Amino acid sequence: MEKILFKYIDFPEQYRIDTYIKNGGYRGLPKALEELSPVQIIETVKKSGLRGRGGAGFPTGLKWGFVPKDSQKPKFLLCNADEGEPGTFKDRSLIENNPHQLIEGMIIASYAIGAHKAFIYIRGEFAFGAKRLSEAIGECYKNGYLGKNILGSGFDLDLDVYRGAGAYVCGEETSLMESIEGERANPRLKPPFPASVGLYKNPTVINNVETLSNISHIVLNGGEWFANIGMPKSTGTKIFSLSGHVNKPGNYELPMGITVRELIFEHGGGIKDDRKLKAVIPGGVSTPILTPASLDVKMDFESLYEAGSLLGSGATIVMDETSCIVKAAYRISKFFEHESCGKCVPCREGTRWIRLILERIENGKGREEDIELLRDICTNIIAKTVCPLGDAAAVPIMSSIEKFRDEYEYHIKNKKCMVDLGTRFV
Amino acid sequence: MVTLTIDGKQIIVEEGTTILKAAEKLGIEIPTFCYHDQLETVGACRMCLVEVEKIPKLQVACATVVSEGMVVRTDSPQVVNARKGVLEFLLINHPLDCPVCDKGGECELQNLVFKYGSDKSRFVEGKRRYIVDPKSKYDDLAIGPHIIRNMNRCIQCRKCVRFINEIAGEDDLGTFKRGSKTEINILPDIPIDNPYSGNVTEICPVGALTSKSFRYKIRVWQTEAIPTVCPQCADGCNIRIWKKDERIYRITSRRNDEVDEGFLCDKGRFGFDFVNHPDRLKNPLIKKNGKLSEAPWDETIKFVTSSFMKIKGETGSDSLAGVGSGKVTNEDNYLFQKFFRSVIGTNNIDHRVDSKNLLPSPDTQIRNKYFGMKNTINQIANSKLILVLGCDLEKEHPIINLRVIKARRKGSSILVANPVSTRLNRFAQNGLLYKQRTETDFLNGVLREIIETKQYDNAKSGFSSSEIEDLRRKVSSSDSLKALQTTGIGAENIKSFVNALVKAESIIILCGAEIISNPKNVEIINSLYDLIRLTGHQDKDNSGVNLLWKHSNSQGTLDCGILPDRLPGYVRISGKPGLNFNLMLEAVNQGKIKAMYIMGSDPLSEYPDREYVKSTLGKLEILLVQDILITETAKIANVILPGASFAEKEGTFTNVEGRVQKLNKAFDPLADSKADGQIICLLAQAMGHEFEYRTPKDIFKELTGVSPIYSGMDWETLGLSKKQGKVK
Repeated sequence: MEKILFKYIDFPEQYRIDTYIKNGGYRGLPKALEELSPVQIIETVKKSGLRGRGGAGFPTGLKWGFVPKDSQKPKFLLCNADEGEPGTFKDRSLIENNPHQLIEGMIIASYAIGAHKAFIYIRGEFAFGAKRLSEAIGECYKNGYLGKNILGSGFDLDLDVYRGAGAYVCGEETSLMESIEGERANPRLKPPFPASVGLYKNPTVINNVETLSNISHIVLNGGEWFANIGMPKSTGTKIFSLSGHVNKPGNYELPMGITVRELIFEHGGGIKDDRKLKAVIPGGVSTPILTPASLDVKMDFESLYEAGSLLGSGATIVMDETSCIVKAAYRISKFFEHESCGKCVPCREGTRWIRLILERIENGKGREEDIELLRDICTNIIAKTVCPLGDAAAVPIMSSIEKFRDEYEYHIKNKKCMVDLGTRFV
Repeated sequence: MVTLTIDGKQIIVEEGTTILKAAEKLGIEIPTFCYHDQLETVGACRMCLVEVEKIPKLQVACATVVSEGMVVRTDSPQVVNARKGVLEFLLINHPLDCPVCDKGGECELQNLVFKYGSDKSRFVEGKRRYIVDPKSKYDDLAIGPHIIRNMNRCIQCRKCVRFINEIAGEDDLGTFKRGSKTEINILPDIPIDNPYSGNVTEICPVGALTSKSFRYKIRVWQTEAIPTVCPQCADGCNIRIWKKDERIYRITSRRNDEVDEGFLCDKGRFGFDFVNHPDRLKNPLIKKNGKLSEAPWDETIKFVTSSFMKIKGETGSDSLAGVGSGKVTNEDNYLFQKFFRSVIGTNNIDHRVDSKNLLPSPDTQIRNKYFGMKNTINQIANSKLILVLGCDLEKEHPIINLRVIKARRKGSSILVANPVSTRLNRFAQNGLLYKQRTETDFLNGVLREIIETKQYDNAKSGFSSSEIEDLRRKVSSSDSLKALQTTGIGAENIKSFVNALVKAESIIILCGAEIISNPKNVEIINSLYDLIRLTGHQDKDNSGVNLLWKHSNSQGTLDCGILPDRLPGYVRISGKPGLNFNLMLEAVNQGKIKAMYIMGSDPLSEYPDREYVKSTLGKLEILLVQDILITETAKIANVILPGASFAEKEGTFTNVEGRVQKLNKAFDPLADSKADGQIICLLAQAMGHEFEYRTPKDIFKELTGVSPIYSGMDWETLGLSKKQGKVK
């Protein structure tokens, strides 16, 4: 299958506007501005079935359609480039290697929703990406793709790069807005949703890098073309960030609906040193863990949900038989404790408590009742927090207990790992 | 209107109501920690989670707006478990040091755990500790002059930070770090420095923020709370005195949304030391051989009355004069003027000892220009533009200042014009500094700009064209133009000032002490009325000129006839008026006044020319001072009578907006002191007059009979929130 987003990802100097144009770039934008009305663009995106690639999978066209058309307030488009989910590294590649693909998508999206100001909120650590974007934006202004009267269409747009404030929670959409406004990145209560009350209390659309990168292709080739790729309800391609115990880790752009097996064994070259597969986290660490029994599950929003997990950002973390699930859970819990913003009670207090218990079990001081206690704490967090970070912290722990309870029990009973890590980790 | 069902009970509420408020109406309690109706809703504590039919997740009641046909459960197992979960989370790291915590007994965490929590702990890990000093086992940190922080007890509702940001408009308290390490703190070495800091100790649901003055003094349940009114300024905040025996331990707010909205300034909250001060006057003192020495009451009363009668007999009633005070109650002041008018027989009565420039006295039935506030305190927050003139509002009227900040938050424009910069200038769209005593020139410049640029509202102003022309001629004269140069305010500033004024949908003008005691006070006030008329805002609800008196009962003192030319209720004196304080001083110097009775005032500290007052009062045969402490004036008195503080008496104060509010007695007058009214009665009785009042209630009743503006007020309902009398 021909790649869409990654077609020119390795092309030399694809990040330059000349190269991008030579390789077919900036064709969707003039089409959008000259031939299509904003409503038609939204219809096209709706028809394409494109769903948010940041993790939640919300239909993009629908989201754009929520922006009130009669509002006199300024509207904003935000690109969420705060890629921070452990295991995910696709947006970084899209930004560094093909920034104009994203920018073209953003100009079209801004035109579609009526925004004249757009921001790319890029993870603070992505210094190189921020530089690439700034340079690309500079090229756009010079060539009339940004600024006043874009390509003579009368449409104005200013685009800025905003470097993130250095927290996982900044990637949560309302926290991201707080962060741009100069506040602590704490999530806001929803409703109201950003489409009506977003950045500076104005209507705002916020989309992931991968989502926006698809836009120019959809506009150029039509909604049906995109809808025919992948699965009926999860259309298009998806970039899977494959990591862990595989022979060929990396980003793979594949149609939605390939199986976990295909991804790991055909594209990823199988498990390292031919060891046995123990577990797969299919959508970044915040998604529930899967066992080898799920190898034939298709990787799309619906199939993974049915299998008890989530597609998330498509970051697939592979763990082989030498992995200790308790240790992995402990490591995940440390991450979420560190990244909880502290605003709401269950997440702030629960993440610390979970980490303390897992740390104790890991250190051979677990108690039998700890397993049920952990499950209870997770229950008291899940669906009770202001933003999804609480769920993200509790769900993987909960699922690791469900799927690998025996490992926990072994750990508690024998005060050590079920697997011998001695030679692998020092 | 929206119909919904909560726990099987149906209720109809207005659109936009939250589940929390709707449940409240049904008498269903939904517990909260982070919710505060004056602050923006954050939904952070997750204590108010409720079940809403057709929504899979539990919803926060504080922020979820009701919808037609909504079915809510606040008592389902899911909700009960969620509450238990939140309380467990809050308790795992809480130090549970309730036995030594000042909040014990009134702690929301204690109360809600008692009601909804679990009786077992499942937490076996180490508790989180915020260590302030590694060498100390206590984690207390002073974060301001009045506030101690103990982060270990904090449940992170952030109401303190939100209060400081949203209500006080300050930035000196913030949230630092994140996750389980989140901490409420000040910036390094920059303590909280605002006059509202004490509110955070009251707003804090736990013992994380406690007040230095109250700490470790007493357990809350050993004290008794007495509802009363703050004596510090004219705003008249409703307070509770927490006392045991004859001592005040603390003062907290007794929320009245018409007045204080539940907030106090630090002066009102912490400034009660004077009540139990060791220097309080305990006995009457008579000066003998140049030295004040203690004397029994009967001897002192006899001495005073015989001296008064002797002077009255020798040189007539008008050789005596009385000075009342805006710091004592209406009942005390009423008796005081009655004593002078009916017992002594003179109208030489005044209370305005702080100014040489007195405003004309108002008249009955007419709320004229010199009456005080035209608007209510609550209206301030609704006005689209507020002009603060000649007033350091934060210092003079801290709670009115909060209303101005509130208006700012709601998007109103704030204009400030003062001879010096004030802290309110930070919120001002335009903060002008004029040279002292150039107020009229500045205002003429403003009026001129409005008239010359034809920006006045001809139809609404009601000015005839000839009136406008007169005004134009006055403000555009070459003298006026020259004078404008002296104000120090440039033409550009006047233009932008006027620009804001003429655009505003409503204008409230607040004038402080600088205007009231200004040599050109009448002229200034007239100009302000012209301004309101020119912009078409006269007789509008949220517009008007307001004079902000200084003392807790300044308005009441005026209302009760402590004026040489007005009886209670501003009834004009039929004959020749008495002397005002300035004229009294002249009369003393001329040898015409020989005795003066000063109740609660301290002219030596308040009058603009201290030496003059001192030497003048020194010439009196009898200077009787009645106060609670040895004031500067008391030091030169012949006789001192020990009065009682606000905490020791019953009575009423009329606040700056004319609201009559009741003070209640926390304890009896200390030592051998007596309530001011009682002392006046003793004097009157010794001079052969009846003055039989059992309680201040009797006096108030008589006052409502005499004063047309207080008529119809009922003592029993005074002082209950929202039911106070309000001057008509």
